[in-house]
Amino acid sequence: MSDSQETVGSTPEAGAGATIRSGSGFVERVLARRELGVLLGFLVLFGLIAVTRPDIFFNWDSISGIFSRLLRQVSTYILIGVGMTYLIIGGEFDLSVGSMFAVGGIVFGILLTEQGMAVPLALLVVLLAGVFVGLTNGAIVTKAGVPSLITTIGMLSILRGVAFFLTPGGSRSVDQDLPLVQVFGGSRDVIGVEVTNQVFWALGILIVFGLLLQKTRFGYHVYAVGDDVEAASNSGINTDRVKIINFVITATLAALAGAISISYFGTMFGTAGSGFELLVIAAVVIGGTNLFGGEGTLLGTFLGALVIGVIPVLLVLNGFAVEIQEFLTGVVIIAAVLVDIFIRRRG
Amino acid sequence: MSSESIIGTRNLSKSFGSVQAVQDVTLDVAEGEVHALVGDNGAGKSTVIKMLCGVLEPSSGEILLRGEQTTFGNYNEARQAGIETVYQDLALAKAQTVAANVFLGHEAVRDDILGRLFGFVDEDYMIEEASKALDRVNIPIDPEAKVRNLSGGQQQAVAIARALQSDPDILIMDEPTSALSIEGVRNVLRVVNNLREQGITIVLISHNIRQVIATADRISVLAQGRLMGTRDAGETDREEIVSMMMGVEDTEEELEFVPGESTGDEATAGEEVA
Repeated sequence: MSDSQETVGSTPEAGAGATIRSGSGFVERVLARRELGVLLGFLVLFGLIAVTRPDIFFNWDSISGIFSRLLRQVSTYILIGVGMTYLIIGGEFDLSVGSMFAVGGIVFGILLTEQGMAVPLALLVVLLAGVFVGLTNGAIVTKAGVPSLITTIGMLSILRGVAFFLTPGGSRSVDQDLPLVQVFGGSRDVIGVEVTNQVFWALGILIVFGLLLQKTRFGYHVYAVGDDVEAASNSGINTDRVKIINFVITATLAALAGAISISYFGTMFGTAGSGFELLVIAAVVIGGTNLFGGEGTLLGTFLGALVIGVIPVLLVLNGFAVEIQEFLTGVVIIAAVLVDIFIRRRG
Repeated sequence: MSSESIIGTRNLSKSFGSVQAVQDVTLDVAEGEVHALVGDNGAGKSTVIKMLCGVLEPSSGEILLRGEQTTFGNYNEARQAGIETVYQDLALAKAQTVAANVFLGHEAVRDDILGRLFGFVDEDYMIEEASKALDRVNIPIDPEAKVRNLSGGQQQAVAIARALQSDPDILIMDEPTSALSIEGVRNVLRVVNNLREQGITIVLISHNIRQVIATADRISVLAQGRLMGTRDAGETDREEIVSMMMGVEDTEEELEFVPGESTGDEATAGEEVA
């Protein structure tokens, strides 16, 4: 039987028709990608501004200002959405991110203004607060087995309470003239568009975490855990650890987003970030991340955030009231999930 | 083929509370053979293999690995001893690629600073190795295809390819052909033959007698937790195995048949043993 090795893998009839090649070329593969559809969706919505408000769209001063605000708003969704994408791919989610955003910004303001703490140290404390909240959420979900819906709604309420407690006068402020605060809150001119530093932070974090998700062992484990937690566990992956780290990433980035936000605006209210959780989850799902785990990309989340960001711009420019925006945002979220389920069922 | 026992049991028993799932099972699996473990539902097949691969602890009796008494504290200890198991549910992450599944949980890390510091995986290596592992089972599958787009037989092949990654001496396959198409069944049985040619000892759990007679070297029959006997596949027939499966007491339960596979030598569909 010593010659048996040579015969292995050489029988042409093996698994007739078994080879799974999609048979598609590069162009077809690109076209088949979910992200392209989301990009097109964004371009259509953005293009609608040109159709409905050509007076603004074709006026450089107006449109560059709109684009600048859009980028800043979207970058907040991206900062929080990076962690949320990890979490949802890994089979969990976090509804406390909006409150964490507020607590992060408010604590940053208190430490800088009231305590006179150095910016790097204050930032470290804010990030550690995020780590603590993430660890708490993760431990409750994985170790005690409480569903993330319950755990993070509870945390949403707790952190909002903390945010109100820390803002007896309604808000907290930072001195925006501090050079290191400028690193977060400043802005610069990029081909005639004022781009806030927050946008660069968001893009940097998006790229770094995108690489970690797509290219590292941990990233592979995130996908595996959300895809089939038992299969992952049977293969020796510490699934609780993966989920807890995802909760930590999410809460920490939400806290960072809060610190960056107060640096830009100079002030943060106790109500800041209310409703962000739904907007961010909508961005993630619109971007093609499977709400049930196992699939998704940060590129998709980036594009989904653009879609979520451009909708209110379009509505405001066309004179729709705030209530309609809320209403339509809800419709878009549910529609996105339904479309997502429909697409996946069709395979 | 050596006839030396590579893995065996001595008076192996397992009870769950008052239920005696396995009782006094003594059997030997010879090195390099395909040894089928057959029996009806509840005969104790799964319990025996779970003890062999470290998932369950025996209530009494011994497990012998190359003649020496062994205890596996858990699944990983059995793996380290060269015993891999492919479960019926395959334990695949179906939205991921074939290569990712072949390396699930032990992804290959790049041999550079990115790999060592941040755990960047070596995708080219994983794709290449997954491809080699699939060549070994002789079922050509694109390592970059998503598992959920594969047929049942191909998914089985991916699970087997993953099990082969640790270069096991013994491969335990739990009902590898259940829920497969005819083509899938043929592919998997061909894989079993390929692995035997590569010198891997296979313990094949099945309740499909005809497949087992066609594929295995020897067949051990379990009924109601007891070993009814072991036969050379070439020297037994379906009737004998069936009567052994009926075991201590007569039952009228339906036994398995090859789904629609028609070789012309006997009727297959709807066969029942009463």
